[in-house]
Amino acid sequence: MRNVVRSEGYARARVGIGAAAAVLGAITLYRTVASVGLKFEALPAYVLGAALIALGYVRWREYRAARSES
Amino acid sequence: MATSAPTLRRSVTPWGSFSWGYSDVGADIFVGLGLVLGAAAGASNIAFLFAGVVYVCVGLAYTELAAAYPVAGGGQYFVMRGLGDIFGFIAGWAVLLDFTIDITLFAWSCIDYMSKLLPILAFTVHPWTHFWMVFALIVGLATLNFIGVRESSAFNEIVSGLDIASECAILFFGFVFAFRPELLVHTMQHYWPATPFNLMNGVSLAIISFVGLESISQAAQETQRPASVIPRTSISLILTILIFALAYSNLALGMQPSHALPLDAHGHEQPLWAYLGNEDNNGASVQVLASLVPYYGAFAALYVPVLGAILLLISSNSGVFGSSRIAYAMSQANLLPSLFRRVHPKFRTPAVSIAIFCGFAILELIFAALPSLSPGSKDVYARLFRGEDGITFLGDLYAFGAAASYSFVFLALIALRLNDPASPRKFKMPFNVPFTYKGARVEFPLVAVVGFLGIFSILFFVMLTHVIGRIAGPSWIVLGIIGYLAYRRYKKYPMFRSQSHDWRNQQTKILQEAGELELMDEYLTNLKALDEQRAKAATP
Repeated sequence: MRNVVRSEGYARARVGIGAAAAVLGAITLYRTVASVGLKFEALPAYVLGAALIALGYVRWREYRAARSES
Repeated sequence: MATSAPTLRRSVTPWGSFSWGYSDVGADIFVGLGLVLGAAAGASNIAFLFAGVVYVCVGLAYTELAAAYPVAGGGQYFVMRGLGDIFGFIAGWAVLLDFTIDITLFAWSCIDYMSKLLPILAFTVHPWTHFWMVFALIVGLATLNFIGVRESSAFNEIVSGLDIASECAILFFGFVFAFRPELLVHTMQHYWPATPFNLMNGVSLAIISFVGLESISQAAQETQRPASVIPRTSISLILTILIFALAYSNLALGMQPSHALPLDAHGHEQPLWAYLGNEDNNGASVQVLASLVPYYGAFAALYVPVLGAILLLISSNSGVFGSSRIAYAMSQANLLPSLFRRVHPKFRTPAVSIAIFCGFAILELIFAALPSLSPGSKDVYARLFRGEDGITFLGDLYAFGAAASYSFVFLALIALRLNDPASPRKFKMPFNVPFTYKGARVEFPLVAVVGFLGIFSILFFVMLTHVIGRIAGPSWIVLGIIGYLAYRRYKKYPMFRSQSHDWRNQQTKILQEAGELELMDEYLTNLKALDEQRAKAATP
């Protein structure tokens, strides 16, 4: 387990999942705004989209930091 | 030759640290989703959003504090250091209530999920079988933790990984193929709760879905390079949990099911949220929701009960781990008797604490199961607890304990920012106002104020909407304070005041033992500069 989480492949998989999360977040935001516009009722959907994008950003930043350390 | 007492060993890796937190918080949605849908109806996602925002503030506070003070004890230690011994005890005592309930509640729910595949385990049909299975789980987890953190940490790491992959798949198929934003808005407009009371009830239940992040800080004393690792793992965990809670609640309100739902008891069509929140499904709402996701649902229906059961099991395991570690830390600080800090010479785990708190968990199990095991006690429960069953009672206390301890943690964070500006903080909550306090430059954390107001309002909602919670929760705290005062009097320690603590030396030692030598040097430099600043400010 320890070897797996320290491997380059694991780091790439994490950043890949982060990228997928960011794409899903962007799709959710786009679809919500396109179909219902800016409404209070859709606030949790906007927050969800933003959180997915933020997760992608955090993973990418971690990946960059890990690469610069090595 | 004198030998030093055995201490906890640092064997928790970054992924292990994440898994400890995830295993505790990740399972909460399996229990909380159906309950919140039943209470808050079309405002369920707003209830999760409100609780989620508060949870983010709580998470940021714990991240900052656990990275700055990486010791076992988490919230209890921060509060003791920021506000004094008695408040540290109250915060720790409230968390202990949460952790022992965590052991019972999640072991119970684990067997409930397994009963979807093995009906012989169904509580309503075979209460004695269910009881003995939960009992065996608690004893098994106690043994696992007794043997050592390395073994139980690996156990958490594997199942956390599997669960995250599964939940990502469910949410991906749900959002890509079945989520309809216009249906979400329609559901929220048509099924918004009739009174604010329902929404407050929903929020008080939604916080249950976010309890347990402090597991990361509980494990801080066993984490390698904690000041660097904890901020990394905490931020990922905060986002992951927030995403899952918001995603499930939005799907429940705005997803087009892949097949028609059964009619309700009156023969009418029912919306998805009502189907998930009814009495038949609210105990396994995540499983039912997953089974209704297009393309993936049929497959998910086969394994989600197993996965849910496993995740609930590791959440229960986190309760064993957390309760024993916090008792260890409280005992080290003379808030609990020395019995709780006895470490097993071979395994170096707090064996006595593990045994005692698993014993508490078994008592709670007996209390929760008694009405079903002994039908004669049903009337007594109905009279004393106004119809609430044992598990609902435990759920109320779970929310109470978390909200009470988190409130103190925010106050402690503010106090520590003012009184201990020298401790290096590798991570700081955002939005701070710098000013001079007692001759030193400090930063006042605005997010901590927002978080405190949020969690305090949730504590108010819990007390307002849960009849039993507002009696039993404060009773637990009062009983604890009485025991604490008696112990402190017996040992001739100050009862209401704090003992004298050499925080400077202690902090240096903490950073040194954590292997954070750069931070230790930074701390010593900061202390020197702080003393000079204060001396200069004191000079007329």
